[in-house]
Amino acid sequence: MTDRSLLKYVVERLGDSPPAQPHTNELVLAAFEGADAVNAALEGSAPPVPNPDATPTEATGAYLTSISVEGFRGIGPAARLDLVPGPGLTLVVGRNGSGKSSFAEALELALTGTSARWAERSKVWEQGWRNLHHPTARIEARFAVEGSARDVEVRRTWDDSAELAAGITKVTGHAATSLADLGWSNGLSSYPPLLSHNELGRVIDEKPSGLYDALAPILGLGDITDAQRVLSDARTRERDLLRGADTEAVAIKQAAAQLDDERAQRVAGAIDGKKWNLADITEAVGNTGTAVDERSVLASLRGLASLPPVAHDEVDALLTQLSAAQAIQEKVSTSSAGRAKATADLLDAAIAFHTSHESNDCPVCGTTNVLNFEWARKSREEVERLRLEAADADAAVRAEKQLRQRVGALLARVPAAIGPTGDAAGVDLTAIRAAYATLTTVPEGMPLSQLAAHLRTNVPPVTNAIADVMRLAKTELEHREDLWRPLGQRVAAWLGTAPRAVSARQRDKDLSAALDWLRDAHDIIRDARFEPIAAEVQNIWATLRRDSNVELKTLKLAGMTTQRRLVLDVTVDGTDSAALSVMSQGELNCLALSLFLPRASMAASPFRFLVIDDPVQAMDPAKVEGLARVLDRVAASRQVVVFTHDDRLPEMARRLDIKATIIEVTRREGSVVEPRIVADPVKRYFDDAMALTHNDLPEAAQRAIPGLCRVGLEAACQRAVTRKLVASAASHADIDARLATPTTLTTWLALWLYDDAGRGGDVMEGLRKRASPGAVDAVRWCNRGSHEATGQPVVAMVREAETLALAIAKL
Amino acid sequence: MMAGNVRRIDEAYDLVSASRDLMRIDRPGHAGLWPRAAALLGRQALEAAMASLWEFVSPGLEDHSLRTQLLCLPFLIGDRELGTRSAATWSSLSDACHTRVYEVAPTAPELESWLATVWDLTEAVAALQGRMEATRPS
Repeated sequence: MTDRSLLKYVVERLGDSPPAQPHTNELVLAAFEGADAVNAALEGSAPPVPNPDATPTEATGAYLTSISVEGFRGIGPAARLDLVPGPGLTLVVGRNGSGKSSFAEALELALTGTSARWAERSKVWEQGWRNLHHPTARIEARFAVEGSARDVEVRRTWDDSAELAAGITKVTGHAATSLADLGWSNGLSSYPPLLSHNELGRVIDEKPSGLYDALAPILGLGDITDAQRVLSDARTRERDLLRGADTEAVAIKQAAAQLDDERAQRVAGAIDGKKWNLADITEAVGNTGTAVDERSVLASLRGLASLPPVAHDEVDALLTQLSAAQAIQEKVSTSSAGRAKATADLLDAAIAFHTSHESNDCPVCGTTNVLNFEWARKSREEVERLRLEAADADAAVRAEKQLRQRVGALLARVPAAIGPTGDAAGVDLTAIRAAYATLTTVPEGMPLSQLAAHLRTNVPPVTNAIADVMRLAKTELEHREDLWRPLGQRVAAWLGTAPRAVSARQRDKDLSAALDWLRDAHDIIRDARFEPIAAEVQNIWATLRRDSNVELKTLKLAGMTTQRRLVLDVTVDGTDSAALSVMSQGELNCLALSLFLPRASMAASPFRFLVIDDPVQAMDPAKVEGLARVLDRVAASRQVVVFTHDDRLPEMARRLDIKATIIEVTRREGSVVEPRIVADPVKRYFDDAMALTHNDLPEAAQRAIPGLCRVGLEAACQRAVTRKLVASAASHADIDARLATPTTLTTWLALWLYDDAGRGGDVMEGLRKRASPGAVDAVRWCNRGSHEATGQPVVAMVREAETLALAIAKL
Repeated sequence: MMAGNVRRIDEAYDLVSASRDLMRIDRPGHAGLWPRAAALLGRQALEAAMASLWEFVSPGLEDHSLRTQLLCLPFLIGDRELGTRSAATWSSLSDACHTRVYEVAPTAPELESWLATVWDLTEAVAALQGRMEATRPS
């Protein structure tokens, strides 16, 4: 966490207006802790509570003290551009090719390792970086850093034949060894202090998202956008998973619906859009044997594929018994059995009659003397034989009956799978049914011999039919299995991910709710933070635009991710219009400056300096005036260094009485570059004052002379005090506050002498001790002469005052 | 003396009004000429206002160069901001009066803002004169 106030706001807002879905609070907080925490929260474990009290890395504020350049681009032998480290405007003027821009590029290179001017150009640009006249390349930028009495040096050096990119950057001072140690790395990307004309033009040419990206970092919403990214990444993962499963479910349903297979039908029925009956599907796929409906096609096919074979052993045994029974029947006719029995009964009755009545005559036919002893003995033997014969016949009848029963039982055994009618899953059962019908149709009382023949004839067709049906059923089953198997495997594979996908659906909802909530929070904070910046942009634009008929109406950051953009609404002569298209190139440059000056002068930026390379191009005179005013305003609290190739801006600064140090850069043969101060705001007042002394001015007008000297002395004090405060490692806020206190020359001098604006009474004493002998008189003259004629020698007084001012400002 | 002062400051007011009229009123024959003409009138108004001020606070200053007058203006009008703004405006108006090779004529809003400054100065001079009249021993 780098921004406590941001997290604090989020935690408070979570309490005040919690997200719609439960669990979302946890997700939002976890998102600030990173991806792992979000995963943990999704798994249901409590996320680690983010610590709003983690110490942020404070960026160290810095002013620019000097830029030294050697053997780089237009600069040959070492040249140093000295700057006053503190708020104020410095204009570096030089003709094209004078080497002035080399200073700006060198600074950019030292700080960022690259240059916007080359970043998008061909290699040729990079190759020409060395100065032709000087083999050693070296850049050194010095900074007066808050909290450090010593300057921080950022040095970039190259071996004599090294490429541009091979330069080595070294940072010394303020216990820092890298730009990151100073907290500058983020600052350089969020609040780039170096603005070049090219870069400004390029950013304006970019898409609205480019402008958004250029401005959004200054709002310090990095943590919240990081959190959003974490959630969004997590959601993308869930959605990918979900989309995969959803797509597969649709494909499976489609494939299943087309497959004539009740497992497939059941699977298809269990998938209804995003509602999946996973238990049903598992059952349909998981166990191929039990779960399928008994009446189902597959069951009947399986029944047909495993028909019980005809019991040939049994049939053979029956046939054997049938032939045996037949043999017996041939011996014992069934009709003779009854006759044998009746004959035996008759003979028994005759024998009994003979024995009891002692008569030899036959009572039936009357034949006499036939029933004798011999007849009786023979008849008894006959009766015995007849009785045996009758028993055999009885047994044969019983055996036949049994046999017929067994045959009947055998024939009744038609497999249930065949059924009486209908078709079974494409297997033709007509033949087998016919075969069974033939086999089982046996007329009542069919002689045994015919019965055996019937069996012998009609069992084999049944056996063949069974084999046929089984083969067909098996083929059909295999065919169906072949068709089903890929789908079955697919469904099984899908089933592996489906439960996770089901939970992903809920996670997607939770994450979306968290993201929605966070987006609202982000927008609210963003709008609140951007508001003052937008106001400042409007302000600057209003000053810069001058005669432009384009008025800036709304300015805000909107949207997110691919929709993010800078909304710029303008009116042209009071009529609404699209912003960028109606603007001239000069106006676009001004707009770019309006947008980026506030960015570069944000309080959170570690850079108290701003370097602008050639902002004047394509500007008409009126805009130059606006620019000068804007720069003057920014320079009140920032060190503004402007590189410019012509005299328009310096001239405008002079004309508008803007306190600006003007440095002229000239370049002699051999790339000898010499920066030289040509105008100094302190000196200028005395030059003007001296010019007035040459005129024989009316008495009252002469008051302007001490007035100018007084302003010059105040400017000198301001510079000296700023320099001292910056060097004393005071905080920049403190410096700003102290520079705002003095209102008169005396208080300025007190601040210079004693670091205390309140010691005005000791100023004369201090001047006597610390300044030239004429200083006291000069200061008195400045103060009094502004209001009344003093009669003092004016030229001498101006000289004294100037001497004092130069001593104060150390010029 | 008194009549002269009134005349000078009235002249300044008249010139500003005339300059504004030039910008506002579309007359045939003025096309393309009005910006420089308006600038010229504006500069004359500014100079008239200064001269009127000098007659009151520093007689004789009007004989000095305009650079000198402009340098003195902030200290004699008693308003440094207005003084420097007026000085800058004089330079801008002066530039606009001359046809320079690379400079285009000022635009209407530009002129408006300059004339506003001239008006402010004129008002300030009139107010100062009013105060001095009031305190002058009769």
